[in-house]
Amino acid sequence: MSNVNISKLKEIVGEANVIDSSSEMAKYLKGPGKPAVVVLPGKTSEVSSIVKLANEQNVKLAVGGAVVNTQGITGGIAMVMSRMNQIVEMDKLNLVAIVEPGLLHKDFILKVAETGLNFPPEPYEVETSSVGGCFSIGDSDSKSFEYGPTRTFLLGFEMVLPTGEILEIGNKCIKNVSGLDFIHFAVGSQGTFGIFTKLLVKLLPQPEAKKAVIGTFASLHKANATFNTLIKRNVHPTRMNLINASFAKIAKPGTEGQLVIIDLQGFKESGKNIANEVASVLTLAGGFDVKIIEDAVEYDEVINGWLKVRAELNAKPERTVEFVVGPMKMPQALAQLEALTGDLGAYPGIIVEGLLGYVGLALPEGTEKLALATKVNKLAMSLGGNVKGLLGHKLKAEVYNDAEMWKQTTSLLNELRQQFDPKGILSPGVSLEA
Amino acid sequence: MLSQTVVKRLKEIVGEKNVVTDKVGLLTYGYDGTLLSGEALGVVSPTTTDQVVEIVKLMNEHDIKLVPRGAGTNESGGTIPSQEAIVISFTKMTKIHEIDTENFVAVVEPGVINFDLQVELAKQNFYFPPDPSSFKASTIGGNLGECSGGPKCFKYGVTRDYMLGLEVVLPNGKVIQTGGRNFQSEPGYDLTRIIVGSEGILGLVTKVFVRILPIPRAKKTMLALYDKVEDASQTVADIVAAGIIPTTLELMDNLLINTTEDFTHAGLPRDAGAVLIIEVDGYPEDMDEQVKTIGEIASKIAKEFKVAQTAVEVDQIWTSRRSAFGSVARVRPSYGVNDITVPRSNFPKAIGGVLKVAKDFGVTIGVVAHAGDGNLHPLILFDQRNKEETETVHKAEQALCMMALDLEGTISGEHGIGLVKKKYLDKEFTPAAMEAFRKIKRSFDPTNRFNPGKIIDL
Amino acid sequence: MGVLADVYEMLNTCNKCGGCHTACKTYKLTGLETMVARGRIQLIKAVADGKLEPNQEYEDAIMSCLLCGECAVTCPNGVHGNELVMAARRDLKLRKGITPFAKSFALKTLASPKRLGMGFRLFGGVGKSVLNKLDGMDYFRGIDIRNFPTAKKQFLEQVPERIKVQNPKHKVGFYVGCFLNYSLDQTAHSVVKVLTKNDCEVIIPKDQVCCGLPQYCYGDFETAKSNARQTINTFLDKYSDAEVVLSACASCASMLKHDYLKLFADEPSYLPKVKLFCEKVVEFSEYMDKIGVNQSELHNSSPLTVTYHDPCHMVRGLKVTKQPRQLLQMIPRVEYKEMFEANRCCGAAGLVQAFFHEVSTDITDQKTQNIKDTNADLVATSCPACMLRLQGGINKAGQKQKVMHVADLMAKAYED
Repeated sequence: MSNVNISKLKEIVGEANVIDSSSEMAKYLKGPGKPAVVVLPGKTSEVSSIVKLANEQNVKLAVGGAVVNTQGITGGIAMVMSRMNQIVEMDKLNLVAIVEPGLLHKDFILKVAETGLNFPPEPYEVETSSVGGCFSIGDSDSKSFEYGPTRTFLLGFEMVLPTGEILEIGNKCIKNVSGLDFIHFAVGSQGTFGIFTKLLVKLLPQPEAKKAVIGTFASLHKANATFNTLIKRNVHPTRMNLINASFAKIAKPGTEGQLVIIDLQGFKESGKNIANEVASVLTLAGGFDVKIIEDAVEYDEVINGWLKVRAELNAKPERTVEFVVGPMKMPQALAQLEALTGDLGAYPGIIVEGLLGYVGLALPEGTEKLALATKVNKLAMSLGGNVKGLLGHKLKAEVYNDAEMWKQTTSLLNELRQQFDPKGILSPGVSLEA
Repeated sequence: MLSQTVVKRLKEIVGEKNVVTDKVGLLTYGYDGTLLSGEALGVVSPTTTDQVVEIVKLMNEHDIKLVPRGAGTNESGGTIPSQEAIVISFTKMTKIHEIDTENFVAVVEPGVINFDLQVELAKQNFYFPPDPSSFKASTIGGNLGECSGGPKCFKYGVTRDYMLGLEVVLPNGKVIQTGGRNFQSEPGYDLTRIIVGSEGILGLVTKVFVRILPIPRAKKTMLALYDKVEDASQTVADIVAAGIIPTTLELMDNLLINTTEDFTHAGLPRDAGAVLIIEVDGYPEDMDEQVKTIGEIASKIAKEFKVAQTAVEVDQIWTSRRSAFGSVARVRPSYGVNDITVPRSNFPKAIGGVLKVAKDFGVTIGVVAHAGDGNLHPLILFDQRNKEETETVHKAEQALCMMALDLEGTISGEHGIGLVKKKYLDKEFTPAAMEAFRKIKRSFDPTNRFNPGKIIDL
Repeated sequence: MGVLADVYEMLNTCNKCGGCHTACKTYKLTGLETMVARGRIQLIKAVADGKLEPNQEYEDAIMSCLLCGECAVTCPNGVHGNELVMAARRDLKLRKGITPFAKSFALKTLASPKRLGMGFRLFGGVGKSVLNKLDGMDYFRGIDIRNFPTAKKQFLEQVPERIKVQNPKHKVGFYVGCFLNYSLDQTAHSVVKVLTKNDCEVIIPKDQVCCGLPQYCYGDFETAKSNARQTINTFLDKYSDAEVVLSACASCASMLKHDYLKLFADEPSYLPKVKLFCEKVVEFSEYMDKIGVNQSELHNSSPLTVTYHDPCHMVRGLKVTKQPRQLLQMIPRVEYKEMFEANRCCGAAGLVQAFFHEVSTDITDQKTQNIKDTNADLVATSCPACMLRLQGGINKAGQKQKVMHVADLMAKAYED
């Protein structure tokens, strides 16, 4: 079923960059939908022309960095940004970079590190995440307590709007409150406001020293209890994460038990002292194999282990329930959660970002996600939090018995989307209804 | 004039005392920190979200516009009732609902004064990083509306970075909640972010969930004196290049050194070309090395560098800086504040640009700047009674804005757009971006009833 | 318009930055922009510009100012809100006299010793007994009527004109002031006691009158001048041997020392004499500190925790803050505790407490809480108006602290 004018697309991006044989298309796609064609634009004007074409022909268009999620798209165009993968500028003096959206997150991190700088946001998926995707999803991550959530690192962008116009906004100023804050509003809009074609990204100096402290625990609860101890001692590491036993094997093959990873990015002197403090807290709490990691290679292994686990969770959003509670309320949260799920240590997967009070649950086969999320949301709300994101808002409104608020919220979201994308062309897989 | 029916209903909603309709009262809600003024149809001070909802509905019934206002200390004209409208003053919504240090969140009403919140937080050794110079008077709601900055932005960011969630009364009178008590609660779009800095044109905020942080264990304040402003900006560049992110890099030029000295008698040398206030915070064991590095960098160029040894010395330094704006009135009675910001690397050029504007237009300009952020506040001194001079000042201000834009900067780093800078907005933003703003405004407020005429016209 | 023209430069210097919000108690408690220096100044400017015709609301804005002077201290532009309000009040007086009946009655009463004496007796005596009969009517506009002290006899009638000591080292002219004369006569006796214990001969002219501050504050310069002239002439001409003119009331002292100069600025021929007088004026604590206190005779049988309230006229008028604290700490077994915002207005502020009692009561309540937080047994201060206000507030809050003048504490210590 192809109402897409493929020859027109070929005119725009060149024959080689239009793929319509389903076998070749497969490597660019994930998800249930079946787009008619995959197109790989090489520059902004091409993106603009493609979007205009989609508008003219009224076909839907989904975008991805290396891989496009085809949810909601049958026929229509899957746009892969991987050819737009250049670092346009690395400006060390202003601590910013201008990059194209198709640049892989992992490649960007390498280039940034070579310059002696730091780009804190974690990738959604280690191998395939692109910088554009990173801001399109606009998540927070386990480093957000220290560095701020992902949106903090976007200072401006070039975007092709759903109507094909090109919008440029932002500048290299790290402080800018001019106009309405469309710059940060666009972060997390998942391609519904437009397609990023260039990103002006804020960077930081590399921390002077990086260390990690790891340890394993027989009990998830005991492991988690160390986080409260650390916060009470006014210790706020860069990451303070916990991975349950089943997931821990992915993070660090051979791990027996629940794995605690404390990441310390900062200065040499305090880093040394805090590492010792953390190590003794972990040991005293019954952790075994507690270890301070200073070797750079080993450090990267530990962190990559964490990222792999997170990616594992991100890969199946439909099989994931994520929620947040007040960080210090985590012990109660886990205890109450266990009443719903059974032994958390044996659960298919659970991760805790201690500083943010975040829990990600990989559900076992056959679990009714919505039913569990509803229960989890109630428990989270009683502990100063809620289920994450749009679903969380819906469930919250249900708890308040405030259907009006939910209706208002979604109608506002849809109105905004409609204003930007009157024909409903872009990112059809993204739902604002939860 | 408001009809008797409307006044009566307003009084029923918020109580007799919380409605102002007399000329004297209205006069005092017609101005803010700028030279602009207007006159509201009435001033109403709600104390609860429900009252705000009732007011909005009533105004919708009668097709009356609303201008929200906190303490009215802004520098953008954002709270001026420039069109026929009532002012909705949030100064009576001053409850601090909750301070939850364990979970790094405080829940406050919009009328809470920034300083009052800081005082309460300090009791538990916490603080709320955004602290604009007006923080002793300005409200959290006002800070949010303008997305205020302050001297700590280089390390800690601006107000938007500390807003976790909001309760918002929409122009249709319905209440929504955006965000929540953490980073991860936005419903699809980051509604909190678009409302922060929107100066009330999208919704009225009635409850704010703010992120709070423990007060850093250690802090060091340093002072460097220079012959020339350019020298100071070199130090700034060098510090950043050394990989240090100070909390603060504040700069004042010779004129400001002298006017603040008149007020504070802090002992700054009056012949210095510029002073740089540098502050670092963090763990105590890291302080010495950072101070040493900064000292080495600064001493290469500065004629004097010192580290404040006592709390009194720190206080003195900050009193000078915080009084900078007002103190220029000792030279000329009026001043125009500019808020231009450029990429850090262009900071020396911007300083040169300011000097050129001063010369070209024959006006006196003092500069105070958040140098680490590339954010300059050139203060143009004049006497507003002199029409001709005032006209020249407006032209000079425009030239400053254009200069900043030429240097790839922005016309507002932390004060907002309001009325004052609205006329330059389309010089900074492309038509597509301006249209994006309008799309957003239309989605929230299709009939343009909330703070009409601020930032953009529909 | 002339009065406002004179201060127009200052009116024009207000940049509306709002920095005074934090300084102004009436704003803090009402949240109303008409109740803060910035708002008042803009209104005065509107009147000066002919954009606003003074009306009742304008008058309320102007009259409700505490004149505490905190805004002047806070303003980085150097705008003195209190002086601008004073000018506006003068302007109002010139425009139409002091309009509201009650205010004019109160000021006229204050201006005449006879009427004032009657007033105090009426308020403290008859009024008290009448109000006592009405249930729950202990507080009239925040003033503790039931416990409002009234001197049985004027202090001036209780003492001779000269109180001699053996081997006098100093001769002190004692300007008593209305409150000490009619109400807190015990405090006046304390002043005399402390002075005589320190080898001062005390001269107490019988024909002293109100210093004129209340009239001056409400724009009635004519009455204020007439009182001032009498005060100056009495002390300078009739009792010229008095080395200093001492007042134990911070408000009177501030008026005598600073405001007389402003009051007579338009009379160059008389001004030198005023200057001579002003130079002689000294506040009680300031003077005791200057001459050095005989500490050996200060006794105190039981430990006492004391806090101190700075009257507005003391801290921002006379700029005397250290001396009273030092005197208090000279008394044996006194533990001194500083209260939060010790230097902020207590809410009395002349007639503000009577005519804007809601604001004034809120201010006093805050003060009372600050006192409570110190856990002090006793509050010392240097102004009788503050003493009455504070005691009223403390009683109303059901707290136990007693309010005393610094002189009272010292006199007691000399007796112990």
